[in-house]
Amino acid sequence: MCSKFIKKELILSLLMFVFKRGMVFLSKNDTEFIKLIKDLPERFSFLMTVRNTNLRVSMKKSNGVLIYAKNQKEFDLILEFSNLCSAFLVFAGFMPQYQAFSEHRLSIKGNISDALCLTDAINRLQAVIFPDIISKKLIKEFEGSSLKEKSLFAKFYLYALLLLR
Amino acid sequence: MYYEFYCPVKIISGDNAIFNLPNELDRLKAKKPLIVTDDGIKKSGIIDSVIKMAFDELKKPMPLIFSEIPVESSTKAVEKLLNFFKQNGCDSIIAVGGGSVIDSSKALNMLIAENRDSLQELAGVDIIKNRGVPFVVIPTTAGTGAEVTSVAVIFDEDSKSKMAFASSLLMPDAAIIDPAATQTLPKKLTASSGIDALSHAIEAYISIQSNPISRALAFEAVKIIWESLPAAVKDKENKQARENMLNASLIAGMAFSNSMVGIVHSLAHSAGSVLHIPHGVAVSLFLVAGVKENAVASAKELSELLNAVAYMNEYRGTTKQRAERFIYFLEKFVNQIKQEAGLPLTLKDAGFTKEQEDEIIKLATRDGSSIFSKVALTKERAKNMIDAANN
Ligand SMILES: [Fe+2]
Repeated sequence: MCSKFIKKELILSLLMFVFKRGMVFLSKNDTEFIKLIKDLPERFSFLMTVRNTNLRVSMKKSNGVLIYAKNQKEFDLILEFSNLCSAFLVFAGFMPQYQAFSEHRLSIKGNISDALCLTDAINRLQAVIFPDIISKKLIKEFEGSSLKEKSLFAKFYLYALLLLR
Repeated sequence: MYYEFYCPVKIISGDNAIFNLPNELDRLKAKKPLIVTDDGIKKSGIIDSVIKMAFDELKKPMPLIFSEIPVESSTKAVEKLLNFFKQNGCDSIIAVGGGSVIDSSKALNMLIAENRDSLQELAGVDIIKNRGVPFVVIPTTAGTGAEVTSVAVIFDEDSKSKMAFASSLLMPDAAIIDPAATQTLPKKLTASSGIDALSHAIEAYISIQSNPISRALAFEAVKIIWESLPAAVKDKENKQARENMLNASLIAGMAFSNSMVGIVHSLAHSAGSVLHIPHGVAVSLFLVAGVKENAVASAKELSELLNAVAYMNEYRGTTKQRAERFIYFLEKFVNQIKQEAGLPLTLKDAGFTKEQEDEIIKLATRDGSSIFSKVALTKERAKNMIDAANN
């Protein structure tokens, strides 16, 4: 899945773009998602990067919704993937975040309970954009009915997958 | 399967091991160490008798002592400790105590390494970048395993919350395990910290991060605890049992430092801070409930642990049956220890009221320990565990 024939960097930048767009969209429109990020403090900021690359996603919470934080220098929470392969596995939905963390593929700098909050929100995003068969594998168990109700975002995922071949 | 395992701590264990302390300090090139401890330990005489003797024998000066570490390590205490360390020109640390003393010493070492005055900016995982000064630990309780772990928890007096620190750079250079150090441990503390160690071993064994090394360690720890904890609780003069428990707690510490704990600790952390009960007591209330929640997801692992606690004739049966058998033995074992030591048997005995339930559930589901659990800590599961701990 992490073969050298795949242009991981290119696909990752696309997946990260989908991720960013998805997070912003859900923070405005998805009641489940809004509930999950409620506990994050206002102006909370986070950065996701891949070690030794320029790939990055930076976002912050502003007026209750998530927005891009392009020029931000300091972050409350930094999630760093150990290499392209690790980031690819997670962003493409092949590996759950908790597993990446447990295998030292993903390091967390900052407050752990904020990281847990964000993880739940990302899980929700993945439940929305990925087909059931994938998102079920990514999430240990879901509280209530979060796995139901899908949206058109699934299209983005299929688009990215097509590019893999 | 991918895993990483790390434990750079030199272990010196056995009767009279403390007499090697001056040699270890020499090896680490420590010239002016500071003993960090609490008032209770200082009064107990371990330092004035055993440790002093170790230095006197070699005609070496007795190190300075800082004994103002509170029962719950706090930012204020660590700042005071840092000042004392600097003012006296110390160059190394000897922690003599339980979890609070060891965590405070780790925090001190972090501040020295990073050349900072306050801990707030260092909270989190892998924030610190530099190694501290030579650091030796002599544990006086058998439970936390803090002498070999990469984590520390300090209460922040400003935000009134607990700050967690995790980095392999927090690990001490050496741990000296000597039964003389636990001689004055009260029965309740022997029992609750022993159950804490047991939960470290079991949770590390069933964690998603468990690996062949941590499982081997955790299995051995469970075996030793089963054999020695009842004897250590019953009779504090039983030196062999106390030495065994110190070893088991250290071995379980090595296992969980590399494989992490799980939902038992999530509930224990949250109930501990809401009910203001010691960590070991909180763990003893949730251990069985938490393992029961894992009965299906971790049936294979739990069935393996049966081999550590029962006679051969118990080993037969399906995986599910053996896992259930292990849980049956575990419940019996924990209850016996709690009764023998006079620990609270239910959450209610520990002062729990229904109004506190929501707060405990909320904090538990936001606790980092559950990341490494096979089963998710949903609100319903946390509630189940509270109900079970109340019966
Ligand atoms: Fe513990």
